[in-house]
Amino acid sequence: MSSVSPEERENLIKEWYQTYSSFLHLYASQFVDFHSAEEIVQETFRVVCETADIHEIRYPKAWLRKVASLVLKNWLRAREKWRAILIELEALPEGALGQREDPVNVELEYAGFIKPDELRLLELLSSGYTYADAARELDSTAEACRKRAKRAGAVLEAKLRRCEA
Amino acid sequence: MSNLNTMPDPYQFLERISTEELQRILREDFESGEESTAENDEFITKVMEVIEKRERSKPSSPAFDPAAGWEDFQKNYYPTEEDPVLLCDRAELEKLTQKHRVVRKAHPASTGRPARHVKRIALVAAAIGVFMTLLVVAQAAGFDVFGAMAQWTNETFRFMTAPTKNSEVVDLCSALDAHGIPTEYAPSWIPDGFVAEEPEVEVSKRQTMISNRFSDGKSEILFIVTQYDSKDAVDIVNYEKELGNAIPHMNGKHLFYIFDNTDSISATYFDKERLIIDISGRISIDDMKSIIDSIGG
Repeated sequence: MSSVSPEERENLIKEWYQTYSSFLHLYASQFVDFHSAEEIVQETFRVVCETADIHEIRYPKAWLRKVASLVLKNWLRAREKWRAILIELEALPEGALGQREDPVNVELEYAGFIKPDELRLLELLSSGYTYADAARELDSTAEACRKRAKRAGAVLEAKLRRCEA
Repeated sequence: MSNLNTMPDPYQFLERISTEELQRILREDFESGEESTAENDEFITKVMEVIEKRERSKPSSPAFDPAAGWEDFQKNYYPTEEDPVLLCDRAELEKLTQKHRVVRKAHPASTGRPARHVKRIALVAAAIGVFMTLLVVAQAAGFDVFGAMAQWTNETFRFMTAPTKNSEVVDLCSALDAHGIPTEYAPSWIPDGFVAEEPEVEVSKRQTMISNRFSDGKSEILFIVTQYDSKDAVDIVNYEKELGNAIPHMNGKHLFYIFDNTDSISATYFDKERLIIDISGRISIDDMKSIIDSIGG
């Protein structure tokens, strides 16, 4: 099959969105709430945008549904991980991660490892905020939130594992 | 004239399953750690379609707004950065996508590369029905599918032919060429292991029918090209109707309709003038699409 132009590809993605987004949303809604399901749809189409040769896909609906399934699994895993990290942090004795400067301001406890707003970001995301919601709350962009959440989660997790060891 | 038996959609049994049970199937699939196949992905999608149909019939169910969603997508989610963060492992995505891509055809003369699927194929008398909706789909796509000849009904799509057998022993391309039919209509790909038998030519006052069987010793694929002497000569033949969605498949030049019968797959093409191609056999839809893709060069 011949390749398609960027414009044709863009049109194909738009057509798929218009045709299948409701279906994907309903699928995601079987597992998460309505608002979170909206984010699953959006994240699914982010993946579509980054997939090569989508014009060669035989049954787009089935493929998209499966992509949504993978996205949903990773979405749930990430939030579960952040929740677990935050619970672990809460349970740690004082100073376990770093030098405590202000006994009241717990966010400074993590200074040097992650920034306070990154911790806030993880709290928002693990409580059900979407990246777009969190971006609005933190006056940032959804893409920045994605990257920061990924980094912050990884840093904290690594730090916690070192503490355990 | 064949009986007008209607064959059920292979997924129609899902309509008889409760929503709760269907949701359980979805959950089990979601929680399963096993690697899925494209066929399983399609099945789960069909399950979801039944749930969707039931949900949409509820007046109170909230609905996703694609227009608003697209606007939000472009503003907040469209990846604009290099190497954007995705909620999907790229290696896993590529593996999944590879299963869902169109099968690459292997030229029979070139390498002996095996076809992706080689299955047992049995010749099945093509009993094909077409829905009124197919006409709408075809016309919406710009094809006046059967032009002056068609009398489509909900039950049958009908042609009438009266061939007189007149065998000639030649290969398919030669047979087509000898009767003024473009050789590009001969498929250049057939599933691995199948060998073409000698084509048969039937010439009558109104039509020339060239049929070619491909056999692997156990089963067959039947390929038939029928060229009518004039557009007016294209009559109506009864085909048995198959319930379910006919699959339009364009190979770049020609629009075929694929019918998934219970035990076989068949496909039909009409050039809007006086030529019809029928292909049938107990093969997969993938194989049928590969055969179709090889037609027309």
